[in-house]
Amino acid sequence: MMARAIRLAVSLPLWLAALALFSMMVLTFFDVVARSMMDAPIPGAAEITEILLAGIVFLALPVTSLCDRHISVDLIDTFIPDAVLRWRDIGVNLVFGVLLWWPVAAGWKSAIRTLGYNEVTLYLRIPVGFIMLFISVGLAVGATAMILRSLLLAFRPQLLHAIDATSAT
Amino acid sequence: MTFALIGFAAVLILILLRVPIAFAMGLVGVIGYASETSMPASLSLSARLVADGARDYGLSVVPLFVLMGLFVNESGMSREIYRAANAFLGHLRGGLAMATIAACGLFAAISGSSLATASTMSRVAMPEMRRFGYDDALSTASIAAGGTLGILIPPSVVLVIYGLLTQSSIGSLFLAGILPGILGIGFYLLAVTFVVLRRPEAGPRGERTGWGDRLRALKGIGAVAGLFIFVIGGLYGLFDWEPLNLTFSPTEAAGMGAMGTFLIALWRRKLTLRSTLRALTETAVTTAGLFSILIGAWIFSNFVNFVGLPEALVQLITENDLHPMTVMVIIIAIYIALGCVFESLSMMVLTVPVFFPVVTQLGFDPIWFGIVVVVVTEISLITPPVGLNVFIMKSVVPDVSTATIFRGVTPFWIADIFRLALIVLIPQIVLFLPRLIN
Amino acid sequence: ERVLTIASWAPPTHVVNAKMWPLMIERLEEISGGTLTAKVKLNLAPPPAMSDLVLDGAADITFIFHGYNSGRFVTSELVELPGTSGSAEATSAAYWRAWDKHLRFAGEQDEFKTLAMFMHGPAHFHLTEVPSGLESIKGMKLRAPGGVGSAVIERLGAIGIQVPATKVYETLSSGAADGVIMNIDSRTGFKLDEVAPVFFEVEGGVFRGSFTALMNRETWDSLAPDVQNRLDAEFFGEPMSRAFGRLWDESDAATISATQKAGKPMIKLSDADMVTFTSVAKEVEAEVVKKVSAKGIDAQAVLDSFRADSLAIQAEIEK
Ligand code: NA
Ligand code: NA
Repeated sequence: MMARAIRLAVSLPLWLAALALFSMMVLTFFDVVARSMMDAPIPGAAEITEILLAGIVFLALPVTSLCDRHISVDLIDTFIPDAVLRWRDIGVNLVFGVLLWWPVAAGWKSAIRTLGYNEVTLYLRIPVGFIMLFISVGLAVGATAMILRSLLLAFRPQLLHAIDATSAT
Repeated sequence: MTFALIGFAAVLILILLRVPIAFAMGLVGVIGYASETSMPASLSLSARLVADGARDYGLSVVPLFVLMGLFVNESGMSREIYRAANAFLGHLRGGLAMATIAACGLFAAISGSSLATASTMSRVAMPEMRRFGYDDALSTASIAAGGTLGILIPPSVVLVIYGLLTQSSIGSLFLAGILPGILGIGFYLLAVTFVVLRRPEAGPRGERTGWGDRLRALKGIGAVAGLFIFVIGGLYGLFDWEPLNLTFSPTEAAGMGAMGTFLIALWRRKLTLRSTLRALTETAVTTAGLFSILIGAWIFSNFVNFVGLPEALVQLITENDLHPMTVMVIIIAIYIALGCVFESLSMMVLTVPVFFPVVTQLGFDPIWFGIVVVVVTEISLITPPVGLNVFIMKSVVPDVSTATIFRGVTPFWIADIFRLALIVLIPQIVLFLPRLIN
Repeated sequence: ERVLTIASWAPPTHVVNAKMWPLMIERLEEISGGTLTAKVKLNLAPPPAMSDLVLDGAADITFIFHGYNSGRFVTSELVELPGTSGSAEATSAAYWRAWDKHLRFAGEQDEFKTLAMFMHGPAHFHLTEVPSGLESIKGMKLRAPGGVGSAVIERLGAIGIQVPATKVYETLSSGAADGVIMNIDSRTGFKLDEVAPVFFEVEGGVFRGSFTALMNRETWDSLAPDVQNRLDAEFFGEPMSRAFGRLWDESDAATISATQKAGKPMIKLSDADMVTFTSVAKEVEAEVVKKVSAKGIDAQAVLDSFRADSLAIQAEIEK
């Protein structure tokens, strides 16, 4: 039950990421076709692509972090007892989940400052500060997901296995 | 220079402690940069790279090429490729492994990533080779090695990122990868032959296919050939005639390829809402992981750049009056050593900013160096102890030990070294096609 | 000896990196009596982030193209307007005067120590095929950097293609665009000679790019007062702006002679087309003047004096 709830909480943004990705593909296609055949490219297509890209990365980051889908190297793991490995993983996720809050704060600050400058994207005039705010929030959720993973590893490992299993593709 | 090397060592230690590669590089980069400026300055720069790196227009090819590979997977094309390759090669001794190599090469022509190539082909080819009693070492190794071709034969995510890092023409890089890729197929086929000559029982003959069936099987790769011509041809203005006028840039090629594959899969009724969503979410999760690495590597290489490692290297070379070829051999040796531990993308993003200024100063061609980097990156994917393609095989066939796979990979690894030597000694292999077209 | 960090972008062979920074470093060393120098670091962050880099102290000095931070820097659009005559040296020197006397009070660069305001020479069309005149531009897919340049070509009926400067080569070589408007030395800086061989010249330019060189305030405040005074008196401000503009002129001239030598088609806008172009330019000018006036600046007066200064300085150069 709990596993499903957590899984759902991180899946919702993931589905939005899927939607962003699909939109990006369709947008590129229609932009190219419209430009080639009708001389009418979609205005600001590249800018929308950039925003969708940020959307994909930061909406998917919570799942990537919670389900340990970051690329890492388990080279020495075979020589180390499982109990040590577990505490190592608890530690790594906790430490980096906490450390990430510093760039989150720095990013938030610089986003607010950019909002104050009224800086906008070149073609669609979208406030750049808003995009940066969104990214800071995404990074914050990703950091939280790492801390959550650490806590689950420490206190409810079965729950984490259940979440990992549902994320297997 | 010493400081930068300490930084590299710190990253290595963190990675061995199983800190995700992205965070290992990011942390060392932030601390290193801060020690040269200040912590608020370093954090603000890194936060800015997070915000800007994730919305770089050129990098939109990364999710789109990954997605294209997954759609190819869903569409059943990987099975058809293997069947076609098998129809022609299967009856030879070691023929199923040869067919695997050929199929990997074909799959590479519509996939931007080596990992996708290896994991897709493993699902198709591994059961078949097991059925005919192939030696586990040979069958897993042929997939792991064949899979590396994914980043050399265009399209290629790694070549795109090299192009973005060095501001080289992605179109030329794609062309440059074709001949070395074909050469790679040839060398791998020789490696298979070598294995079955020594141990015939490792790769028994499969069934001989009649010419009628062969031609029918050949039709199966029509869709793949069509996609390759569509994506790569569109880049070189192959469809730039009235009233179509279809032209696209390398960045757009990824979106066009993904959409084309999606439409083919849809038309073949191979896609459901569920499988489409699975491909999309899987791509998104992979993308988040890859971008974390890209941004982490960027933060780290800023630190290395700031403390002046590239300049120090150039100075070292000029002071010692080293021959350019000596330098190149040293660089390649460093790559092969780094390849033991690093993952392909992080290895490239970390090293290219350091070596590129050195290499161009010595008069080497940037496109040629790009292919050399990709070939050594390919080698890293099957170099122990950390070979990502080997790990992929391990996850597909958990009952085969990593040691067995690495043992099987050895002849392919040696074939790779020969290919690398050829490319270094005869740059025309790389530069012939780009020069012909431009 | 204190080493300042210059965060730069553009290719290493670009005139900014190859000529301008080396000149500035030389002058820094000279004026400070060897107590001050600087080193260039390329691509620490993407171009639009460069000013923040210096603001937060991750680097000491940088240069920015105002157009990359759209909406943040508005007054710079005034000098980018077509219709100004003079070399990059003349316009850069005139730009410094206009900025120092008027534009700075819009407060856009208050957080920095501004070292120079400078401009590249006139930007022209670089096309893949020979045009029959200005009407050929209608319907063409052209890459423009936003701001004034984009406004002008859109009024000429062209379709704006948006890609970063570093992607221009790919976009043109794949045929996704029919041309680009960029300053002259981009032909070598971004290899346009290969992919957009036709040089289509508009007298005075389609636009002129506005740049500034900035220093972190704390870095500036930490310098010895006598060094500060000497730098301000002998180099920063008009002398540096002018020197950077001159380097851009030299780079443009080298590019022009290379283009001639290579036998690339070079076409000039006809007199009749120039009339059409000027009327379009006037429309854009009215818009920009209105926008800059909203910043509390008498934009028309500043524009007029900027143009007059540029002419005067140009006459002085040619003398
Ligand atoms: Na490929
Ligand atoms: Na390796």
